[in-house]
Amino acid sequence: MAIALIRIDDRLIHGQITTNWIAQTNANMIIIASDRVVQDKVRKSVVELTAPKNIKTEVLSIAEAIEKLTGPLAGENCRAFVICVAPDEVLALREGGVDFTHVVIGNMGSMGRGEEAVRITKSVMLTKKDREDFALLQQMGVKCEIRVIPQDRPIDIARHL
Amino acid sequence: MLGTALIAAFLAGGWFLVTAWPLQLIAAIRQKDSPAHGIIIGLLHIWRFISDHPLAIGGLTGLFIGDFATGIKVGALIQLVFFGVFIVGAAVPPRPMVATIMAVIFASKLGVEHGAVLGMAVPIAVFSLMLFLSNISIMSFFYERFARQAAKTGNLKKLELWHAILQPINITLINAIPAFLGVYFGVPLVGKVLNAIPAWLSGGFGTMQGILPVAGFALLVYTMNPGPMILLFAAGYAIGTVTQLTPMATALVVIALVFFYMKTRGGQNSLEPAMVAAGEGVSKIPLSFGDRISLAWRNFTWYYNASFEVLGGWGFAYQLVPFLRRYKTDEERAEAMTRNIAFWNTNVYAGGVIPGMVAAMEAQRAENNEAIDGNAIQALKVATMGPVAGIGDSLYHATLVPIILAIGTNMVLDGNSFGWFFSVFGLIALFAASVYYLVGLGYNLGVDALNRMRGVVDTVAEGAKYVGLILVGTMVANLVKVNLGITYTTGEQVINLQEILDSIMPGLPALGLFFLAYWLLRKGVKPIWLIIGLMVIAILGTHFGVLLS
Repeated sequence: MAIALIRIDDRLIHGQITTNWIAQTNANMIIIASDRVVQDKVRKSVVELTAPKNIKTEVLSIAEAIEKLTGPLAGENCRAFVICVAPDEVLALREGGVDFTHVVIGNMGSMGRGEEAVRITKSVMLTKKDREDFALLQQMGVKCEIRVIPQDRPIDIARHL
Repeated sequence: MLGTALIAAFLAGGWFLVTAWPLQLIAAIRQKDSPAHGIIIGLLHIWRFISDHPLAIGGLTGLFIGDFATGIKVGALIQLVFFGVFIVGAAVPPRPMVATIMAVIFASKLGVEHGAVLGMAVPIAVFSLMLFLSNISIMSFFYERFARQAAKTGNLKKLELWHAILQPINITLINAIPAFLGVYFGVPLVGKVLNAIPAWLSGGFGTMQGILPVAGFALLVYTMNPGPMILLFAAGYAIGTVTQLTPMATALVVIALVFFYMKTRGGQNSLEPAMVAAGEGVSKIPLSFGDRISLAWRNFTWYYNASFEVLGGWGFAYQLVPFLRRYKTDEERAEAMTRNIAFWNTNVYAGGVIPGMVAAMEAQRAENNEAIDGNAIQALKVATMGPVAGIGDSLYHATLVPIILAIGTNMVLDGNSFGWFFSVFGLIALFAASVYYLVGLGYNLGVDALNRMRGVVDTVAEGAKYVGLILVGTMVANLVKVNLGITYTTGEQVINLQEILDSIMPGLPALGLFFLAYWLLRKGVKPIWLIIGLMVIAILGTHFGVLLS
C-alpha cells in the first residue's frame, strides 16, 4: 500500500484535510494510526461516524497500522493518508518498519495533553518529549515540516528543536 | 462625502455598536436572557456572518446609498471572485466585506466602470485580512487578563460581561474605521486616479471583469474535491453554453434531477449501525425553549474574541454561561469555566451540536457532581470538534452556502434583483435553522446526535455537491468571458481563432482557462496568486491585443 502522506494532527479528520489535503495528495483512504484514539471509545466512534463517506477510513492501533502499511497488502492500489496524534506514534510506525521520509505537521498540542507545552507556531505546541521524538525522527532521515494546508510554505521543525 | 463615509462605517460594523452590543450588555448585566431578546441578537449576529459575502453587503450598501441596482451588481461581480474563499481551520482567507462596501460607493458615486472597482477590491480584501490577523494577536492579552482570571475565581459575570464588551473592538475598529477612511479619503483620490488611467489599462479592467470570476469558480470546485465527478462540471458547462434557461430555472432542473438520482439509489445507502458509546452525554434534565435560544444565539459569538491560543475558547464558555450559572459554589464554577475556556475550534453551523452535548453534561454535573466526570466533558469536546469541523466545512462552506449564493448572484447578473433577496434570506434561514436544530439535537441525544447528523449529511452533502458542480459549470459558461483577439491570414482569407473555437463549442477558451486555474490550485498555488495572475493576464492580454474586452 502506498502512503500518500503522514500527518500529525490531533484534530484528526477535519476541514483542512477533507477540503484540501485529500485532493492534493490523491489519497483514496484515510488511516488513523493512534493507540490514543483506539483506546478512547468516544473519540474512536466519533471519528468513525463523521468520516467522509466517499473515502474509506480506518482507525487502527499502531501495531495494526504497521501490519497494514508494511504487510502483504503492499502494492495494492491504495494511497493511504495516515494521521497520527503525536510524534511518538509516528516514531513507532517508523521503528516498526513503515517506510517514509516525510511527515507533515498540521495541528498539535493546543487541546492539551496534561504536560507543559510551548507554542512554536499558531497551530503547534511542543512538549519536551515531542522535541526528543522529532529529533529522533530527524536522525532517521525523516523530514518533519509544519504545514497546515498545502498552500502554506512548509516550516522545518528542526528550526524549533 | 462625510455622510457617505459614515454610512460605510455603519455598514462595516458600526451598526453593531447600536444594536447587538447594547442588547448583549443588558443580557450580561441582568445575568439572564429572555427568548425574544435572544432571537433578536441571534438574527443580528447571523447578519454579521452573511455580510461577509460580497453579494449580501453589496446590496445593503446599495440600499443605504440609494442605488440598489449598482449595489447588487458590484456585489455580485466581487462575489464571483470570492466564491470559494472561506476559512478552513487556521487558514484565513482575504476578507472582501469592507472592500465591497467601498467598491459599491466608488462605482455609484464616481460612475466608475465595474471592472475597475473589481481590481481595487482584491488588494483591499487582503488588507482587511492583515488587520483581522493582527487583531487576533492582540486578543491574547485580553484572554489572559479577563477570561482566564475570571475562570480562576469562578466569576461568571466577569467572563460574560467582558466577552460582550470587547466584541465591538473586533467588529468596529478593524472594519468600520478602514471603511470610513477608505470612503472619506478614497472617493476624491480614486476619482483623480481613474481619470489618469491610460486607455490600455482601463481596457484591461473590462477584460478582467470577464476572466477574474475564473478564480472564484476554480477555488470553489477545488474545495468540493470532485475527483472524476468533475465531469458533472463539464456537463453543466455544456448545458450553460447551449441553453437560455434563467438561473432559477436551471437550478430547479438540476436540483430535481439530482434529487431523483439520490432517491432512486437510496436503497444502497443504508447506514451501518452506529457504534457510539450509547447514552454518552444524554441529559435527563429537559432543555427549555429559552435555554435553547440562548445556546443558539451565543453559538454565533465564538470567534469574536478569538486569540491564537484558544481560538473560540472564550466564546464557547460564553455560550454555556446559562448552564454554568447552575453550579452553586464558586469552586465548582471555576472548575467548569477553566474546562470550557480551553481551545475551541470547529465549524460554526455544524458545530452547534457540540455545545448542545456539553450543556447537557454540565447541567447534570451542576445538579449532581457524581453524575458526570469533568474530564469526560473535556474529552468529548476534544473528540468531536475536529471531525464535526470536517463535516461542517464540506457541507456548509464548500456546498450549501456557495449554492445559495451562486443562484442569487447568477440571477442578479441576469438582471433580476430578486436574486439578492433569495440569497440573503436563504442564508438567514439556513444558519438560523441549522444552529437552532443542532444545539437541541446535541442536548437531547448526546453523542448519538452525530449519528443522526451523519444520515442527513451523507445524502445532503453528496447531492448538494452534484448540484453545485453542475450549477458552477453553467455559471462559468454564462459569466466567464474570454475573447481571443488572435487572427491570422492565409491568402485572401482572414481566420479568426475565436470563431473556429466557437464552432467546436462556444466559450472553449473560458473552459480552458478554468481548467488551467483548477490545475494550478491542485498543484498548490495560493488562491491570491491565482487572482493576481489573472489580473495581470487580463491587463497584458488586452494591451497586446490577444484578449478583447
